[in-house]
Amino acid sequence: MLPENIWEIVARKLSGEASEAEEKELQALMGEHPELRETIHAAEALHLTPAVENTVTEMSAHGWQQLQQEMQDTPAPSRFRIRRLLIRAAAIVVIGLLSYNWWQHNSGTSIATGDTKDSILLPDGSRIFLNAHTVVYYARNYGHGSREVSLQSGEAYFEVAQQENNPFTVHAADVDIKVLGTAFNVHRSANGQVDIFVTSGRVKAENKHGSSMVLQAGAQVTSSEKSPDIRPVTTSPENVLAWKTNRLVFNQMPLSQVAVVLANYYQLDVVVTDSVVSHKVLQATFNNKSLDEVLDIIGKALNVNITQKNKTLEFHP
Amino acid sequence: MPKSNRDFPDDQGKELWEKMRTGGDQYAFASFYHHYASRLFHFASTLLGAREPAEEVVNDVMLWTWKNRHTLPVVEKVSVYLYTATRNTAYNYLKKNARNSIDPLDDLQSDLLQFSPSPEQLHISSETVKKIEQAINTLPGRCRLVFKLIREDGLKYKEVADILDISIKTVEAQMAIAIKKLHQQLQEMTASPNS
Repeated sequence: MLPENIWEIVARKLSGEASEAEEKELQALMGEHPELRETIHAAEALHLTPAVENTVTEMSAHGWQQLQQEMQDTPAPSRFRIRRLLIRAAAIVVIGLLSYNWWQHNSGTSIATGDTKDSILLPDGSRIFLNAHTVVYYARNYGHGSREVSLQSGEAYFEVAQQENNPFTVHAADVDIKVLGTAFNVHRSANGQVDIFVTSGRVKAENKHGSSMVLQAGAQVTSSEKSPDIRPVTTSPENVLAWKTNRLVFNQMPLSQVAVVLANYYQLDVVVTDSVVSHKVLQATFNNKSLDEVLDIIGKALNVNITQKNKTLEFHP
Repeated sequence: MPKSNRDFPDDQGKELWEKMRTGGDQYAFASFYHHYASRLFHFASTLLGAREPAEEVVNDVMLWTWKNRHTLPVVEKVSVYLYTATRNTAYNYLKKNARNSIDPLDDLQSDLLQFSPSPEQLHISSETVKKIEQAINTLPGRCRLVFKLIREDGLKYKEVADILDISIKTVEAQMAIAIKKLHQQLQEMTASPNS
């Protein structure tokens, strides 16, 4: 029999409020009642998401754009009023696609993409390709003495114009990536994880714990806020740039991994619940195909059923 | 499985807050915004039930923080300060816009927070997913919100109690109810009822 106050004890355990004695008691109870362990695991992995019509990433990007507008509006002396109106009018024209915002003092530029991708050309000839739902920021004095870009959310690919004595640095969460003349991809997840993939030249990645690594072309590494080290990644790099090339390559890849690639590329949640299905192996290349086409082919090739509910895909036997 | 969500490190948030207080520039504010925005959007969307008011409220809080950055107080935990500010702003928003000034917490729609399988759960069976969904569906809105704030946002009982203006006992009771329901649903699936 479980004690009467078992759910209060489990609640305290899951809330980090349990005493040592309660932790011990619970350990013993979990030994006697394996089903208790199962419930605790389910509760630990439980995520609740607000059922509003837009994703939080979108809200953050959009909110940030609005906020910058308001920030430049607030302390303004009157002679700027006409200019502000012009800026506001311009902002309305580009709303929803891509918007450039100017800070009034010490100003920099922030670029945010919504549902679409985009690219920008920086004053020094460097180019940034932005995935959807991405925000980057650079200071007004960009190119004068230093070239610094901050990846505030999302994913971007950088083609850096070579300039000796003028280093190019990307700040992403905890990580600074210093460029020694090159092209590379950076993905910043909402949880602070940063993935870097170098396609040419060399870069040096350094996190705030002091861990650093020089990366050659072809290198793939990851850094998370939870760990002090920058670690190499061993998965194949062929789909890292899919968002930019619109090409998906599955080379004998199990469906469990295919699901992750599809989720990233089409910005969906993908669920594979059946273990037989998740071990099926896909051999396919898709060039600029719509989700429907891709699912149709995968369904037929692997003989699996695919259902879509809102933004969640599910693969069944 | 690691207790990934529980030990949510807020050292970075505290550092950003200090940077803001001591003459923060736009870089500092940009990092600060993106560090907290998504959590506050989750919270505000739950209180207000729609995107636009949630955006308005979170941006009000953020804009206030920016304007008053030089006089921000020293706080124990930045997230608690921001959640409380968001709650109060949401309350004011409703007072201003709704016909009657009800506390949003007394009127939380229960279906606003829904179960979404996390990456670790990609491999659980669809039957289990269904059971978890059913368990969540029986829980009132406030109970779901308490669970989320504790488990996903890493807040303590006392902090959730302060933010939501309820007692610590209520917080604990809501957590216990959520876990009990989950357990009951999962049990129904695995065993023939024998108790």
